[in-house]
Formats: sequence, structure tokens, C-alpha cells
Amino acid sequence: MQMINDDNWVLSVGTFLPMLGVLVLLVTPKANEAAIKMVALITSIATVAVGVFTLFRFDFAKAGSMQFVAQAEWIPVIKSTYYIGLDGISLPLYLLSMVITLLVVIYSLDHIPSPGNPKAFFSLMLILQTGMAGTFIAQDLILFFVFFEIVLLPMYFMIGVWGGEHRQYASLKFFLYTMFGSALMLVAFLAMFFQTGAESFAIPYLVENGAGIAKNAQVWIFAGMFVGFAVKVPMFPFHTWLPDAHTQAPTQGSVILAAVLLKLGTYGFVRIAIPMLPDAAIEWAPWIGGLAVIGIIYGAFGCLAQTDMKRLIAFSSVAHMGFVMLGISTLTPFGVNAAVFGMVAHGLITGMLFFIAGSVKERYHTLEINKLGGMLTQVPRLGWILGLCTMASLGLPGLAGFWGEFPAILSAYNPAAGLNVTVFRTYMVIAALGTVLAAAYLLWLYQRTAFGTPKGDDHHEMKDVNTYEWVAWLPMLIAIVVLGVVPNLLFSVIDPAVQETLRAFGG
Amino acid sequence: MKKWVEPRAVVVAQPSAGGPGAALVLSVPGAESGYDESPCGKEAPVDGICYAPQVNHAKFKWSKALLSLAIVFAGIAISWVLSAALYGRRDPRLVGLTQRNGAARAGYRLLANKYYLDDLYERGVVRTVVGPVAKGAYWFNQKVLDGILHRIARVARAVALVVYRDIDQRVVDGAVNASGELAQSAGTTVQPIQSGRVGHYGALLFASAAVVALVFVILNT
Repeated sequence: MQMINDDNWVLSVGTFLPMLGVLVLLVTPKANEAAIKMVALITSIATVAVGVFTLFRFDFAKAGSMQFVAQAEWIPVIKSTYYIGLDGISLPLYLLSMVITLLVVIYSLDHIPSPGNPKAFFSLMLILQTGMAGTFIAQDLILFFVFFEIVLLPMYFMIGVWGGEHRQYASLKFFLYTMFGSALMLVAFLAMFFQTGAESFAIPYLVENGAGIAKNAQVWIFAGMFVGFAVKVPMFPFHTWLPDAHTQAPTQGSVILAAVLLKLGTYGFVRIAIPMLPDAAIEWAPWIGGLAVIGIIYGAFGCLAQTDMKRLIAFSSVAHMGFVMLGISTLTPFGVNAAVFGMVAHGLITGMLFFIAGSVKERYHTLEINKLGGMLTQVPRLGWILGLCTMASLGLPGLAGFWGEFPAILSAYNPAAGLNVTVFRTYMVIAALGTVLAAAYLLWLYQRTAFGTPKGDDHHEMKDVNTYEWVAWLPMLIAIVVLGVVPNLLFSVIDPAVQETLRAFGG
Repeated sequence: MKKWVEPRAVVVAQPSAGGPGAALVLSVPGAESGYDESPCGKEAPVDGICYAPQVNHAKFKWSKALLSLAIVFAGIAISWVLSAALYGRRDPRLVGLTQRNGAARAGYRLLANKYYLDDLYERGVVRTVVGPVAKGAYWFNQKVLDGILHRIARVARAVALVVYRDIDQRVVDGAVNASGELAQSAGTTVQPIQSGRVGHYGALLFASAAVVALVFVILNT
């Protein structure tokens, strides 16, 4: 793989700039909320500015190569280095994490959840941003692991402190479940290190040398990574932390969880597990595909059974990430392209749906679907935005969700050489049925919340979408439409990197 | 009459030795001559079965077209005549027929309910999926999957309790306490020889070191 070392400071600055903001926040008096908000806002704007600079300096003609590569000694005892870089797969996710954090900060300017304390809240959010961005640029397994774990802590506190009624249960479940997965993942990383001669933890090195590991060992190492990443995605049957965490988290937490954190798992499959262990990937792919389609149908049924709007959106993630995993399990460039697109699209769409759920809760003081209704007459703009997002979520052509879902289904028609065609075509049919169920639960949700007449007493004086919400939401809404109409904006960046990643499978 | 062919799987022969797609022999019924590309694209599928839909349309025939048009026009004519009799002349044989005649009533009801297809769909498919199927899946999620998780958590807590109470507190801490007590009782035992003089202690230290050294020498020879 070609490495490009130009501007090698860019990624470090983009990743650690939020920590600078945290340091400033630490010395800002707790009582001065305006200053705290300003620091958080300026930090996240500056971070996005570095991200935009990265975007402009990125050599799109070489999107398959690692760019802005920086390498420095870190822990020589275990041969782990501070090794970072960015290619066409990482770039969209890296930028997504930055933009989502900025939008969430903007939304939070006006919506600090109970019990308040913006200083701690924004600090955690900025730490979270460093963890997310770092995971997407890490080119060393130990570095990846550290960033992957850093993410857990702020989210644990976000759910546990600012969450809903059952926040303590949800935060503990989230933390322990993910820790369980990452423990096995770490064991797999160490096995990977020793099996390749204990030379290096560098991802490109391990990709070069992983294929040489005996197949039996590969399958076991893959199993460890599988559990770690599958919990994070989450895949059926490791998903039960998700509905609780999403539902109990404050709006900001749910948005970040859905938009970025889930992608750490799928990204792990694409960047680490599959390219490093190609033989094991072939063995595991039918099982991953099977769990993916179970997730699609099962998640949809879960949605149909929900009475709470936020929990329904949470469950829909299980189904949507099923499509992403189905694309990945085909081990074809077509499928993985669809999967990476699906990650970004799901991030934007489900992130938006959680924003809306937060605003609905704020206005109606409930998310019980039975008690909602008539949003289109009462808060028409919010109602229409919900309409657009449900359409995007169910995979309507012309909106971003379609390009994650439809190609993923199509890719199962022709899986990579060595995979059973009949099995994957069966998956294709089941996944296609899942889109019908997705339309059913999303449109049903929309009918029950947006149509009809408003219920309850507090009909009057309900404010429609306010300025903060517009500023936070418009970029996402625009991205949903633009990526839906011109998907090649994204595919052209992702594809070269996907081709490079799947070289072991004969492209 | 030639049957209309449903989309179906087509068996494509395995590729010849010349490599994938070099010489595909297709057995597509009704395939026109000169059509030598696989419906699955240029490469033969691995297991030789191609699921590309093959829609073979029936050939156009005037006889069939005219017959079906005739049936349609006959239907229009009959309903015209009947409507004129019922709504125009109010023919007593037709007015109230669906109330008098059981068969007519059943037929009317079937038509009025659109062959009950909507009911079949609503009650058979939609309510089953939204009701028992979705609720069952959610029950499985909450009771079985989360049940397993909670069981594991309970077992872990029980194990932790045993480890803490029986192993940590009794065995490990017990050993620590025992060693403390041992030191204390040893101290009490040797109290009489404590004089407070440094020289005395030095001599004792030297003597015990000599004893230990002697033991080592004996053990190593």
C-alpha cells in the first residue's frame, strides 16, 4: 500500500484539538455557562475547520492510499507506535464524527439535559470526539484499541448522569457489554501480534502478514475480533445493550451513539478483521451474513412491537446495521462500498431521527406513540422533517438511505469467490423483505405521530423548530438529500480504498 | 396454447476448461439463436444455477386478443342491459334480488367486500406480523436474550460474593491476619530477651544469621 506523508500534522491536530478545548473548559468557572458554551462551540468549529482543511488537502486521485501518514515511537517495549493515516474509507467517517459533534454542540447550546452542568457535559462530548476521530485514523492496533476504549467512558457518564429514568441500568449494561467484547478483541489483537512474529502492531504490516497465519488460528483470532466488533455494531444476538442505551441516553448521546459509535464496529470489520484474516473471513462470512439478515428481520419486528418512539428508532438501528453487515459479509468491493455508504447514511438519518425524538420529548413531554399525534397540524415543520427522515430511513430512492440499503441487498447476489452463492442469494431475498417491514414500521410510526389530531391538553403555545435546531439539523438534512441524489460524491472516495482493502479477495 | 413461463432458475453449464465464460452452453428454453451470453453476465455462477429471471412472453395471436376483447365487451353489454333494467325501468325481477335470493346475496357480498382480499391481508398478514410475530420477537429479546444476560450478571455477582466472602475475606485476609497474629504472639514470646541494648540485638542478629547460613551449608552439601 502506498503511504503519503504530506501534511502529517493534520490528523493529530484534528484529533486532539478537542482535548485542548477540554483543558480550557477545565479552567473555566462552572458558573459561567456562556463562556463554557462558547469554548465548546469554538473548539468544535475549529475541529471541523481542520477537518475541512483535511478534505481539501486529501488527494482524491489516490483515495486508496493512506494519506497524512505520521509515525512516531510510542511504546517500544511492545513495538507499538503512534501510527496514524487516513484513506477513502476513514475520511467520510472521520469527517462525520467531527461534523456530528459540532451539530450536537450547537443543539446543546439550547438543550442542556437535566441535571445541567454544561461544563462536564461539553467536556465529555469533546473527549468523545477525540476518541471517535482517533479510532478512524489509528494505523496501529494498540492505538486503535486505546481510542476504541476512550470512547466508552464519556458515553458511560453521559448516559449514567444525563440519561432517562433507567439510566444507571442502561449505562452499566452498555459499558460492561462493550468491555466484554473489547476484552476478547484485545486477546485477538495480541494473538495476531504473536502469530505474525511479534514484529509490529501496525495495521498495514499485519494486513501484509496476516494471510500467512494458519487457517485454524485465523478462524479463532477472527472469532475474538468478531465478538468485539459485533457487540459494537451491534449484531444480533449481541444487540440488547443498544435499545436501553439509546433510549436512556440524553438526545445528544443517542445522536452520537447512532451516528458514529456504532460505526466503530463495522469499521473494525472493514479495516482490521477482514483484510488481516482473509481465510477466516471466508469461513465466517456466511455466519456474519446470516446474523445480519436475522438482525434485519428481527430488528424490524422489534420496531413493530414498540410503543415508545425513541425505543423504536433505537431498534431500527439493529435492522439498518444488519444491511451494513450484509454488505460487508459478501466480501466484495460492491458490498463493502454499500456498507461504508450505509454507515454514513445511517449516521445522518438515524442521528436526525434521535434529534427529532429529543425535540418531540421536549415539546410533548412524552414519547409514547399513543399519546402523540397531529404533529403536522401542531408543529408542521417538525412533522415534515420527521417525514423526510422516515422516508430516508426506509430507503426511499433519492435520499441517502437508499444507497446504503439497496446496493447491500444487491451485493448479496454475487458474493466473493469461495462463498456459497445459494446461501447469499437466500439472504438477499430475506433482506429485501426486510425493506418492506422497514417501510411498515416507519410509516406506521409517522402516521401515528404526525397525522390525525393532536392529543392531550397542551395544544397551545407549542413552538415549532427553533433556530438552534435549524442550525443543527439543516446540514444533516441537506447531506441526506445531496448524497441521495449524487451518491457518487461518496462512492468515488470510498471505492479506491475498498478495492485496496479487499485485495486479498481478488478484487 | 403455449404456457406463459414464470421467471425461474436457469441451469447454466459449468464453464469449459477454457476458463470462466469461454464457452457457455445455455439451456434456456426458447432462447433465440445467436444469443450466447449467460443471463448471469459473462461469468458462469459457481454452482451452475443462475437465478436471473427469464421472462418468456407468449407470442401475440389475433385469435386470443379478439376472444379476450369479445369477453370484455360482452361483460360491458350485460352490465349495461342489467343496469338499464334495474335503475332505468326498475324491473321488479331485479329490484331487491340480493335480499330475496341467497346466492345473489352471497355473490353481492363477495363483490362488495372485494373478494375479502383486504380482510385476508389485514387479518392474515398485517395483524399477525404486528401482533403475535412482532410481540413474540420482542418478548424473545426482553426475556430470553436479556434473560441470559441478566442470568450471567447474577451468576457473576454470586461468584463475586463467594470470592469475596469465602476466598478473599476468609482465606486471603485470614492468612494476612494470621501472619499478623503470629508475629504478635512471637513478639510476646520473645519479650523476655528484649533488653533495649543495640549490642545485644546485633549479637542476636549475627547469631541467627549464622544459624541460617549453617542450615544453607548443610542443605547444600
